[in-house]
Amino acid sequence: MSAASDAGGAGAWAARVYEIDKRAAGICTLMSVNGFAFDRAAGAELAERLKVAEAAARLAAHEAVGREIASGKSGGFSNKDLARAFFQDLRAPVYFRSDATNAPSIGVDALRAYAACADPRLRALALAVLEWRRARKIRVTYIENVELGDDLRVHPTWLNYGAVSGRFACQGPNLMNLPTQRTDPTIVWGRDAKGRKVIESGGIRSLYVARPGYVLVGFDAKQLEMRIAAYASQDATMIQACESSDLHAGNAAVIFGDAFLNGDDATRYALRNLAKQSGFAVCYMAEAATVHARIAAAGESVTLRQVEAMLAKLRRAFRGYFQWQDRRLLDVVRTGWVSEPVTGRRRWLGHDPSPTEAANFPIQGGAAGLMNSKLPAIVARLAQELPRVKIVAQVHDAGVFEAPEAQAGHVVRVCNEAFAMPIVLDTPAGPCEAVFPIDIGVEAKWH
Amino acid sequence: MAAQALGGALAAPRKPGGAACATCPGRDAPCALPQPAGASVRLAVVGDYPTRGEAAEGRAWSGGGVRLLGRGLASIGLQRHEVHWSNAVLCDVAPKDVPKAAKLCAPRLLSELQAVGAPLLMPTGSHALQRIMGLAKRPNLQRWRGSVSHAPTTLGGPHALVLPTLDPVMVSRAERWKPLLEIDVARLGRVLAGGFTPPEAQEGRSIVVARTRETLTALLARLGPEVAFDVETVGLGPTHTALVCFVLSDGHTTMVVPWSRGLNGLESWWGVGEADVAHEVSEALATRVTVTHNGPAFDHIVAARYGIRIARWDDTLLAAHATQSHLPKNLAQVVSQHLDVGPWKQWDHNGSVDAMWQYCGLDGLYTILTWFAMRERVRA
Repeated sequence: MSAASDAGGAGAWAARVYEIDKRAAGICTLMSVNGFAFDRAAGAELAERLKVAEAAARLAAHEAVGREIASGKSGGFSNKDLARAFFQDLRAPVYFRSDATNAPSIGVDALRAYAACADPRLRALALAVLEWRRARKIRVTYIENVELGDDLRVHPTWLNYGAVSGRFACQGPNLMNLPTQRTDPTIVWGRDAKGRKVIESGGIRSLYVARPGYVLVGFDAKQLEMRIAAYASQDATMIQACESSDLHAGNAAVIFGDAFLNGDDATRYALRNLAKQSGFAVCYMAEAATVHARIAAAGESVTLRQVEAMLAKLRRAFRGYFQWQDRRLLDVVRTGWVSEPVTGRRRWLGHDPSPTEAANFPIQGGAAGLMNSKLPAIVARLAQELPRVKIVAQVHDAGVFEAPEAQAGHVVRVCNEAFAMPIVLDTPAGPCEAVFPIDIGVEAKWH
Repeated sequence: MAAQALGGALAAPRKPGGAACATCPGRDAPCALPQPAGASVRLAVVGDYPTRGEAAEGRAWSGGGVRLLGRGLASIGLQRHEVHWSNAVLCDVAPKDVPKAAKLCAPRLLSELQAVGAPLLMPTGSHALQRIMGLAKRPNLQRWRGSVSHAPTTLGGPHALVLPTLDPVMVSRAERWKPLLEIDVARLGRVLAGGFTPPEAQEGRSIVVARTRETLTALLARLGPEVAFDVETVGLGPTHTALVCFVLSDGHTTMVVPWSRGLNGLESWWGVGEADVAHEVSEALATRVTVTHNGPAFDHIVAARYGIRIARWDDTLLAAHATQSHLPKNLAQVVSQHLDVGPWKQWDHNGSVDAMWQYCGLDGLYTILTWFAMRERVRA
C-alpha cells in the first residue's frame, strides 16, 4: 500500500481527530433534531416581493429585445426563444457553447460575459435574465421548497464530514448557502441615525426566527481564518495586526501606509475595504488576478497592477507567514500529506499538490478544528445549566442558539467563557496557546 | 494461444471488421487493436476506448495508462504477457459517439472475451462494464468499482469474475484517485490467489430475519460486544421518514428486524408490541457498542424516533473521514477499501420486502466487518 492508501500511518492524531469528529457529529444530530423555526408568513411576503422583481426583470428583457420572449413549461423563459432573442434578434457573438449539444450557450458564464459587453441592448437583456434567474432561484429554493416538520420548524440535515477540512455541511435546505446581504434582493436597505447603511426589512436569513418567548443568541468568531494563519505561522506582524482593534485597518496601514493613516474618512473607508478584500489572498496564497476579480466583484475600481503592488506589500509585511507556507508546501510535496494546526487532522494531497489547496487546508481545517473543539463543550455545559437552550445552526465561523429570553445573558456568558479559554496550536516554535475572540449578539431573527 | 483463439480478428490490417462497423461513427477512424496475452491468460483488462496516440499506433493500451496499471499488476505477480488488453470501442471516436460505437462494438468485444477465456475481467470504464455485465443502462463506474461479480455465463463460464476499477489514464492525471486503484489491484491479487467467497457466504455467518419476539430475544442474547446497526427507511429525511426495518450484526450473527409489513412503512410489523420491541433492543444496545455508517446524521435520529436508544457508539463513516478524507465515503466505497464483496448496493429490490431484508442484512454485516478492519486506526 502507498502512503495515500494507508492513512499516512494513522495513529494518535487519527484517534484524536476521530474523537473530536464524534463529538461534532453529536452537535449535527442535535441541530437536525432541534430544527430552526421558520416564519412562513414572512416567507410568503418575500416570495411576493420576489415575484414582482421577476416580473420587472421579464419586462426589462422584453424591452431589451423589443418583443415578448415566450414562456417555457415551468413558467420561466423558453430557452429556445431566449436563444433566438440573443443570437438572432440581438445578433450576440457566441462566447460559449454547450458541451452536450454544441449549441451557443446562454448559461450563467455566457450571460455574465454579455452583461459586461458594450452593446447596451445585449447588456440589458443579459442583466435582466440574470436578475430574473437569481430572484426565481431564491424564491423557489429558499422559500417555496423549504419543508417544515410537524413542529413547523425546518430540520436540515447537518453533516460534519461533508467537507475535507472538517467544516460542517448542511442539506435540505443548505443554511450555509443562503443569499448574502450583498446578493439578497429581498433586503430593503435604510440608514440609521448616524447615516450608516442598515437592513430595514427583508432578507432570507430573517425568515429563520426564535419561537415565541425565545431569542436567538448568535456568536461569530472574529477574523478566524486570519488569526489561525497568524498564530499557526507565528508571524509577529500578523499577530500584531490580528490583536489590534481593527484587523482590516491594520492591514490597510501595512498596504497603504500614510495614505491610509493620514487620509480623510472616505479615503480610509475605501482603503480599508480594499485591504479587507485582500485579506483572503494572504490566507490562501491567492494570485493577483483572483484578488482583482474579487475586488471588482465587490464593486471597487482598481487595476490589476495596483492589486499586484498591494499583494507585494502584504508579502513583505507578513514574510514570516509566507515563509511558513513555503516550508509547508515543501513538506506536502515530500510526504503527500497536509495537516492543520489545531486538531492535527491530515489530508492527502499527493506529491504534486495545488499550492492553493496546500495553503488553504491548514487555515480552513484549523478554523473547523477550533469550532469543532469549542462547540461541543459549550453545548454540553448549556445542556447541564440551561436545558431549554437549543443549538439551531452552525454556519461558517458562527453558531446560533435558541434560548428563553430570560436566559440569553447566561448563554452569552457561557459562549464568551468558552472562547476565552486558549487553544493550543501546532506552530514552528512548538505548541503555542492562542485565544480566539468572538462577537456575540441577541436578536429575534437571524441576521 | 489466446491470440490464435481470436482467429482472423486481430490479423485484419486496420479493424477487426464486422457488419456493425459500416454504421459505426468510428468506421473511418484509426483503430487500436487488442493486445493478446501469451500462452496462459489470467486477466483481461477492458477500457472504454483508446487514446488518440494508441489509435495512431494501432495498439490498445500502449499509452500512459498501461504503465501505471502494469506496475500495479506486476506487484501482484501478473506479467504483461498474462494479461489480455482491450477496449469496448476499438477506434478513435469522438466522446459523444462513444455510446453508439460501444453498442455496435459489443458483439465483437463479447466474442473476443469468450475466445480469450480469462478467469478475471477488469473493466476500467462504464461502457466496458455495461457490455461485460450485460446491463441495460450504462452504470456509474464509481458505484461498481471495488466490487466482485460473477460474469454472465456467456463470457466463458460461471467462474469468471468481474472486478471493475477506475480508468488508469484518469488516475495518472489525478493523483487523488490513485489509492483506489491500488486498493483494487490488491483485491485482484487476493482473488487471483484465493478466489472469491463473499463474507456472508463464509462459514459461521448467517443472516436471519427476526420475525417473532422469541427469535428476536434469542438472537439479541447471542450478539457480541460490538454491533452494527443500520436502518432502512421509506425516504431520506431522518426527522420524518418511516422505518421499514433495521439490522444488528456482530459479524457472526446478523439479524434483520422488520418494522413494517411493506416498503411504505405504514403497517407496523409488531403492532401494539412495537414499544416493547424497541425497549428490548435498547436494553441489548445499552451494554454494547453500536457501530453505524453515517449514524449520527441518520440512523441515530430515526432510531430515537422509534424509541430505540443507542448508548456508546462508533461510526465507520466518521472513522473514514478522520483518517482518509480524500477517499469517497459512502458505505459501498468504505467497505470496498477493506472487504471483498459483491456490488450489493446496485441490486434492484424490485419492490420486494424479502430483497430489502437481505440488502439490509448485508449493510449491517459489511459495516461491522469494515469496522473490525479499520478500528485500530482510530484507537489511541
